[in-house]
Order: sequence, then C-alpha cells, then structure tokens
Amino acid sequence: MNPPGVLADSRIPTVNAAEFKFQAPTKSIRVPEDIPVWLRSRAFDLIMTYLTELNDSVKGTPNSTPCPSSKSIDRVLELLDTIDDYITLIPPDQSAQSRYGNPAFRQFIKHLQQNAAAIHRPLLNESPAITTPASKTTTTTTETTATTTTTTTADEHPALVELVPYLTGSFGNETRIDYGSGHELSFFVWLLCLQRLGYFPPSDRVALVVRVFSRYLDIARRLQLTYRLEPAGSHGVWGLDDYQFIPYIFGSAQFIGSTRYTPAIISENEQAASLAPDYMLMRCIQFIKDIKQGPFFEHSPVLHDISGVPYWTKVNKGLQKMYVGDVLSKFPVVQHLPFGNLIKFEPLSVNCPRPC
Amino acid sequence: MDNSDIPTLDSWIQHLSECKQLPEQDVKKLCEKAKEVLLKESNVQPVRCPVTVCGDIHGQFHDLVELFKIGGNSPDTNYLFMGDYVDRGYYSVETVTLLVAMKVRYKDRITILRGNHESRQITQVYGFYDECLRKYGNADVWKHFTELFDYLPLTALIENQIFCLHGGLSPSVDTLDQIRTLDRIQEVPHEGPMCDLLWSDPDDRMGWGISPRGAGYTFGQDISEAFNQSNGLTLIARAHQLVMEGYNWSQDKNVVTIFSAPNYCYRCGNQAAIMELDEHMKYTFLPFDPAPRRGEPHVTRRTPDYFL
Repeated sequence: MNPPGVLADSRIPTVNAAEFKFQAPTKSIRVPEDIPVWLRSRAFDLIMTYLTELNDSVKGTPNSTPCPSSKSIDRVLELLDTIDDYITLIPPDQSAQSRYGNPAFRQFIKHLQQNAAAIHRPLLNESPAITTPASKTTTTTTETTATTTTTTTADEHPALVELVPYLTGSFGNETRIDYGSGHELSFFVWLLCLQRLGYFPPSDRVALVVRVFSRYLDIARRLQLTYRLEPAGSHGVWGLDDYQFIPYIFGSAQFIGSTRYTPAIISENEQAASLAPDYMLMRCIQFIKDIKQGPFFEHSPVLHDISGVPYWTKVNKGLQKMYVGDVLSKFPVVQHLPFGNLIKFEPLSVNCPRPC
Repeated sequence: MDNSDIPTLDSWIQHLSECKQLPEQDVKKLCEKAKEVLLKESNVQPVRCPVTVCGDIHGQFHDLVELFKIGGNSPDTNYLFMGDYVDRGYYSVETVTLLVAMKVRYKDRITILRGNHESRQITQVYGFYDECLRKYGNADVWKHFTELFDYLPLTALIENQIFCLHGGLSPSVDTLDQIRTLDRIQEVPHEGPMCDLLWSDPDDRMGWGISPRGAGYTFGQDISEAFNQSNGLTLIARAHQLVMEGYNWSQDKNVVTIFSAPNYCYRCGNQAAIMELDEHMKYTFLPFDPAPRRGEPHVTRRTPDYFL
C-alpha cells in the first residue's frame, strides 16, 4: 500500500539527545479520575500517532513482503535475541509445580533488569543518530537521574534512564508472574522512545512491525509458555485475547485490500496454521488454537464475533477503537505505565498540538 | 419457599441442567426467593457432614456438570461451594442460575458462599456483566444477581472443625465471633475484614504480607496455626487460587486450597478437585478433568459495538 519512495517523515517529533533533558519515568496515573487527563495528554497523543503510523505502514503488507531495514533494526533484533537467550539460561523451576506461574520467571526479570543498561549500549553508543557527548564523556547527568533507582552511571547515555524502565516492563510482572496488554504497551512505548530519539529512519516502519514487533511477540509467547505466566487481569473468554492486543491491530491492517481472505478466516478451522507465518493476526489465532481446548466460539467469543465483520478496514478501525476503549482507557492497565520527558504526561497544548 | 414452588423450581433446574438460561422474569423471581433463604444464614454458616467441598467454578458449566457426576447429584450429596461461580468462563449465567436454583430448592443440602468475584465491581471487569448483556440484551439479570450476591454468607463451619471460605484470614479477625458480627449485606468493600476473607492468600513467608492482588493480605503459617488453635479448628479450607492438582496442602496442613475449574480458561492444563468429607469427617480428594465435549454447535455472531 506504500509505494517505495513516498514515505513521509514520521509524525513523531524527534529530540536532540545531546541537549534533551531526560527524566526517569514515574507513574502519573494514580487514581481512576486521572484517566480523562491521560487521554488528553501529550503522551497519549504520541502513542496514538505512532500506532496509527505503524498500522498504516503495513496495510496490505504480509510479513514476507520485502522491506528495507536499517542497522537500527538489526541492533534491536540483536537485543531481543539476547533477551530470548535469558529464557534458555533460566529454565523453569521443576520443583515448583503446585501453583500455576513458575517462580523462575522472577529470576528472568531480575536478570533482565541487571543487564538492561548493558544491552542498550550497542543501540545508543554505536548509532550516529543519537550518540551524545554525554555518552562519551563522564559529564554528570542531570540531577533528576541521581534520585532514581535506575542503575545507570554518569558515563552512560543519558537516554537510558527513560529507555530502561519501558524495556524491563515489557515482559511481565515478577511479583504476580503474569503478562498482559500493559506489558505489550510498555514495549511499544520503548520503540516510541527510540523513535523520539530519531533512531529509526522512515524506511524502517514496515520492518518495525513485521520483524521487530513479531520478534517481540515470539519472546512474549515463549515466556508465557515457559513460565506459565497468568494473563494479567484476565477477562477469561470475554477479552479479545488473554495476553496480546496490538498484533491484532497490525495484523488486521496486513489483510486490508486482500481479495482472497475475508475476516471469516479468523474462525475457520484450517486457515490459521498456513497463514500464520505471513500474517500476525493469524499467528495470534494459531497460538490460541494451540494452547486452548474447546470450541472456538466458546473460548474466544469476541474473535468469533469479529470474524463476522464483513471488511478488514472495519476490523482494523474497530480494533483501534477497542484498543483505546478496552486497554488505554482502563485504569488497571495504564496505572502501571510510567512517564518521563520523552513520553510526557502533560496536557496537549491547544496552540501546538504536537510539540516536542 | 412453600411447597407450591417445588414444581416450578424443579422445572427450572431441569431446564438449567441442559445449559439453557432462564427468562429474565424467572431469574428475578428466583433471586427474590434466594434472598429470603440466604438472609437467614449466618456469616459463619454451620454445615454438617457428610459434605463435599468445592472451589472456584468461573462459569465452566460443563465442568460443573462433570463435578456432579464425580461427586454425586444434588441433593443425594450435600455440597458446599466456596464462591467464584461467575466471570471468565462462557457460561457464568447458566452456572450461577443453576447453583442458586439448587440452593433455593434444597437449602439444607447445599451451601453457597461468596467469592471475590460475586461483586458488582469485579463482574463489570471480568466478564459476567458483558455476558449478561450479550445473553439478555440488557443488564437486568446482572443487577438481579449482583443484588443477590450481597446476601451470600462469607464463611462456613463444618462440624465446628473445618473453617471454609473463599480467600483467607484477615488481620482484623481473630475469632469466628468477630465474623458473625459483620454486616455482610453490602457490596464487597475495598478493605477491612469482609474484603480480606474473600481476597487473602496463604504464603510461604511468616506473618502478614501485602497481597500482590491489591486487596486482602498474605498470611503465613504462624497466622493460620494461631487462628486454628484459638478457634478450636483442625483446618482452613479455601479456594481462590489455581492449583495444578486441583487441591494443595499448605502451612503444615493448616490450610488446604481447592480449585474446581479443570483446564481453567481452556488452557491452564490443571486438574480440578473436590474434597469429600464422610460422616466421620474423613476426607478424600476427588480429582477430575474437563468434561468431554461434543461437536461445536452453530453459534450466531453478534458484531461488537466498536465494529459497527
């Protein structure tokens, strides 16, 4: 859907890392009454803008479509590979079988937290786009970082204080041993932070979805199975999916314009396995069918309903609205999302709708 | 309930046993009758053995039918259910209607306690509200049931020995008498003894701890031992947590967790169990697997509002 050569610049305003005042993210959505403020905040606007931008970039674009990808994509994929290796490194605790979630997951998260700054280094220090004098010298970082618990030191890239919490928040909660759409959102915001730093050129957009986000989902699924993560705040059969949401948005965009497949394939029995490699949405369906026993209409009634929507454009628009209504507007989900200066919790100015 | 109600109740139970929902007007009548029955019960409802104790069901209707196959039909077997009939599963409406109808029909043979999901606030988030809206087209049935939930007893006491409840202990409760004095006919509060009884969990750490659930507490073996000792109890039987074998002893057999929803949410791979107590208070755990299912019936699709 996006002919080569007409890619517009990102609508995400970039910041100059050398001059930007980074601030360790803190939680700002403290009570349900904060939700309307959040929905009119700059942070929310940035998230929706980026979601729409990535969504639009993969309209009619299956995973196998050749797409350009920069060094930045490679580095992010390497970082994800490293995190994937942690799962191999930390096998589930076989002695702990009475409860559902496996306590070895706590070690996985701890390991991730301990290494989070280090695995960012190749992204930050080897990228000409966002290398800053501060990342090369021992110039003291701003006083705001000194008061945080993040394990960065003065000679680290100053953006780390904002990036690390989103990455470590992307893979589940170690206390509850669960995973849900809030963790998925954290990963999305991590990518958005990198975009704010100008890390990805416009030509990376498709690869961000079909390569990076897909790779992240593989890891999330491996974690869910390996450590038996409970779905965070599960609505049981009455949610879209126990764990994910965003791949349904991107995945439905991939089908837009298809003359071969209608949304009915979502509930058709034989389609999922063959289409899963090429379409994120069908990978989600395949995963559900792999892990759930019982009739599809019963364990996934919302998806069953969506499979009756006639057009992919309607499915795609509906899922975006549903994401705002059922995920981003829900206090139990977004209360955990912290905000720094890249993704700032402040009112959108009327005069300047998207300031940086 | 007078005798003239029996044929109606029997016909409702028959209908519900086939996993068919009752018309809204009948649900309303049923809930009115059930309120009268439950109002007379204590916050610590006394129960005699033999009785079979069951944990979470969460709308898994076909597995509830399987439970009755394993444990025996009501009223031939006496039952004590420890809450969480609704939310998450596809058939919360059918499940809770059936259990309430059985309660009204055989009030001395079945005891139904309140779980943390028997609440207006929780059911609006975890599925029962959506399910009622979808199956009845409006929220009236949800209103009838959530009003009824306020009347459910909080705990039960089998032969003055086994203390049964959904969640666990509370730092504001040392004695059963303190529970007896609570004013339970209300929505589950966000904190305090009534909330804790429905939300707390046992933990490997001693003492009281902050619950990761955001409500109730975690309590250690020192707490449960002291509670059992001072109240002359042999055991606390509770539900509320998914355990892979369907039951799980903890805290040196001061606490047992029972979970009666097999393959929870269609995917957890857990067994379910019920605890049978015979007339001598001898216990046996009966494990069971998901009910075998026949082919998929044709179910019409209903376009969610977001997609119109």
